Amino acid sequence: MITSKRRNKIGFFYKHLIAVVAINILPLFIMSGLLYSNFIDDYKANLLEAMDSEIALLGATSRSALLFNDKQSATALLSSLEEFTSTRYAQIYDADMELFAEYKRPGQLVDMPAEQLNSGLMIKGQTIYLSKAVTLGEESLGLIVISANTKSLNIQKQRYLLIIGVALLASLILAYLLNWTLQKRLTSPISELISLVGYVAKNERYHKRLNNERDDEIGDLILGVNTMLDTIETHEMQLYNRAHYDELTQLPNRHLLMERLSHSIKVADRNKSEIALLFLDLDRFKIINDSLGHRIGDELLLEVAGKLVKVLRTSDSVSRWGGDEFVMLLEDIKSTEDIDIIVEKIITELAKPTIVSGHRLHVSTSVGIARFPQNGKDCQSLLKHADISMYHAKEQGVGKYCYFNSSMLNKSVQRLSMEMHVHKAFEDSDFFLVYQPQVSSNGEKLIGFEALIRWKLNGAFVPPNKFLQIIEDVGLMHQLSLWVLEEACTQNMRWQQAGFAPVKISINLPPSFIIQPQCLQNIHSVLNDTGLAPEYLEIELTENTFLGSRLIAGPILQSLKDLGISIAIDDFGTGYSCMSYLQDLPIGTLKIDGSFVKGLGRSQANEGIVRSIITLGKSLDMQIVAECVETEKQLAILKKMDCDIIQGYLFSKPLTAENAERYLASRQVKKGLNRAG
Amino acid sequence: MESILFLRSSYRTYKKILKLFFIGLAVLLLCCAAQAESILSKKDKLKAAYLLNFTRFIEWPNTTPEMPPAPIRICVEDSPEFILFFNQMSANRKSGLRQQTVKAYSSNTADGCELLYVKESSKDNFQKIKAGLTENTVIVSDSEKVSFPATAITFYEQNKNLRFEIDLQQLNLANVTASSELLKLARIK
Repeated sequence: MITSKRRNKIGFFYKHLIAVVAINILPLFIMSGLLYSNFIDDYKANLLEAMDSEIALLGATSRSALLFNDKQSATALLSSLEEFTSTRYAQIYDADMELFAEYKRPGQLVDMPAEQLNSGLMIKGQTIYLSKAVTLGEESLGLIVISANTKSLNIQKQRYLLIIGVALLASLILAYLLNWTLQKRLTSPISELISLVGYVAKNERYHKRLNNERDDEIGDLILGVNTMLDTIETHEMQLYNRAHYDELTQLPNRHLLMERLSHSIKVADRNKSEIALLFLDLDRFKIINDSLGHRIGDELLLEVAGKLVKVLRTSDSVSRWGGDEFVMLLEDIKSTEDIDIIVEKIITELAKPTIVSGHRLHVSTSVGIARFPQNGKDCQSLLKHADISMYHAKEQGVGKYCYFNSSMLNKSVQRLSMEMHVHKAFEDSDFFLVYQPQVSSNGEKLIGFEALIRWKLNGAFVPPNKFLQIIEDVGLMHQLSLWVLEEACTQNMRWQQAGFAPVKISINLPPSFIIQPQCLQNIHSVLNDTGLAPEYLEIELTENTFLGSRLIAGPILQSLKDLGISIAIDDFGTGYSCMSYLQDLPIGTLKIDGSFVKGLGRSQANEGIVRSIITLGKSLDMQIVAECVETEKQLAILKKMDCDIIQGYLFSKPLTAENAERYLASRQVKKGLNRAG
Repeated sequence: MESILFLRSSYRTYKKILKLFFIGLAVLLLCCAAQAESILSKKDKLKAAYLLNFTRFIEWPNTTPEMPPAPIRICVEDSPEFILFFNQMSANRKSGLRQQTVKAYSSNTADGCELLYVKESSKDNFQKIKAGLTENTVIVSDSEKVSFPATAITFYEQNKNLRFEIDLQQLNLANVTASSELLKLARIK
């Protein structure tokens, strides 16, 4: 830009040079003009003075000739003017103004009558006329006239003009050369500065500096520019880092990853080698982040980033994709085993507990793997496929990895479609609750209902395990949990208002709802709004709720307990949690996972587990609920084991609100319970 | 009374006569002058002018430092017309560095002339004229025919023009200085 401008315009230094030369030359011009004028005036004055002297001399020497009437002598005197080439003619008139003597240069004519010439000077055109009276004492003897041309004056003018012109031209050239040399010497640092600025503007690179050994204003300017470039370079570096590196972990961000991936693809394509793209998503990070706060979450991410970097080979790179997602680029892969080794190393490393601000945190990661060139030829497709395979890994459980295959694309499309349906179902209020009765193990008493969410899509029920994770992923879980809470409490209150004896309503709440700061307030509001007494509400949690968030969940659960709300552990026996929480937390009920119940009567080991759970619960003064009880045999075993409450198809499948109400009515009539209370 | 009236009448008559006398004298003088001019030849007139001009270019020693300076005397052979013409011509003119008037006198009556104009007839009165000369007298001869001793300037004719010859030796003897302007016009002897 600067260059093109410079090309189109006359440069500043050139203008300055011309101006300086002009200023230098201007006085010379003026002086030359004055000198010329002075020379010419002098020459003219000299010419006139010479003529005047001549005429005075002639007048003095011719008076005797006039007095003695010696025309010959007078003529001879006038003839002496021949040597003065400018003289045209000369005449001597006597006192009566009669021509006494005359000299004429050949070819010249007397063109001015003596009568018109008073004593003195007359210049007409290029001719000078000079006349002088010839006197002796006070007596006028006659008049002498000399006429001369100004040819010599013109020649002299031309000569002076030539001399002055040559002198001026030489001065001009000398002034130009001297100023040019001087300017070049003085402005060379500025020229270098301009070149530097041009280079910076053109290339947007700020690494060049100028040597500065000057101790003047230009030195200050160079120092200023160098300092400015330092600042810009620093800012540029900071901007580059901000644009290409993650601020928290200082790992390359997605932009730099894309650049590196693009470059790696080109190299791999050229070398006919393979690369692998690993898409990592931390399991349960959201719970930790939400429960312990973002600061702890950030520190955990830093620790994870450190572990990932440690695991990497020098040829590999890791970047933070965003949130709890990391992407690793493994280059020059020889076989799948290479990838397996690295991925297993990553999973193992991350599975180790991490101490962050005194918290012993357990995180794991799910890894999706896409390979070049098998799973994609460009960055976008490789990333998409790695991401899809990561979801498949997640579906398999925590700490799993999965290679991409093309069938995953269909599943991915299905998942996307499901997400859309979930959103629509939310908008259309397509979700509804069913209520499964919980009955005392002797079958005589209806203890309560467990509210279960159901969704019918295109006339068919969608299993909760198919859509709950999607709801969690799309961020609607909190809303759904709140809705379930409201709906279940409302329904329970409705039954109570209908005159049925109060029963407990159990609802499942995800860990994310429990550990959120407004949990207590939300539950309290719902109870207030619906008017349900807290003792008729039971909240079922899974063991995972306490994994990594025990410190947060503990006080909340205690507050709920204090409020009168019961806490139950759902699916007990399938989690990985430490049993100590059973002692520390205010848990009133253990729900034996259905998988154990289904195995009753089939294996001794299964029965041993169930018995142990019941014994454990009883020892901690807890109620034991067995779910998924479908057979009398299972019931008999459970009764024998002193299980308190039975839930399952043996007594009732989950019922709609209307059917539950009928069930409630039938149970209470059957058992002769007073509707009113 | 009659006598007084007579005296008065006589006085008036006397005054008229005296007036008429002076008028007549003036007319006479004018007539004489006119007659002198008309009598003199052109050549004599020219020579008279030359003589006057000689006084302008010749410096005599200042022997009489008078103020105002004494006139330069031109002694001319007894020729009243010439003298009258000369004096008329030189009446308002002054010569030399000392701006002296120039007057012509008859050589018979004048002594100590600065310039003596002699003619051929002057030879007869040579002794008489010589007695009245000074050592500084410059003698101008009317023509080459006049052989007067110590002649410094001699008129002659050339192509019908009047010219003069100067004898520098005689001028030196007369202890006078002639201007170069005069000398350049003269034929030097």
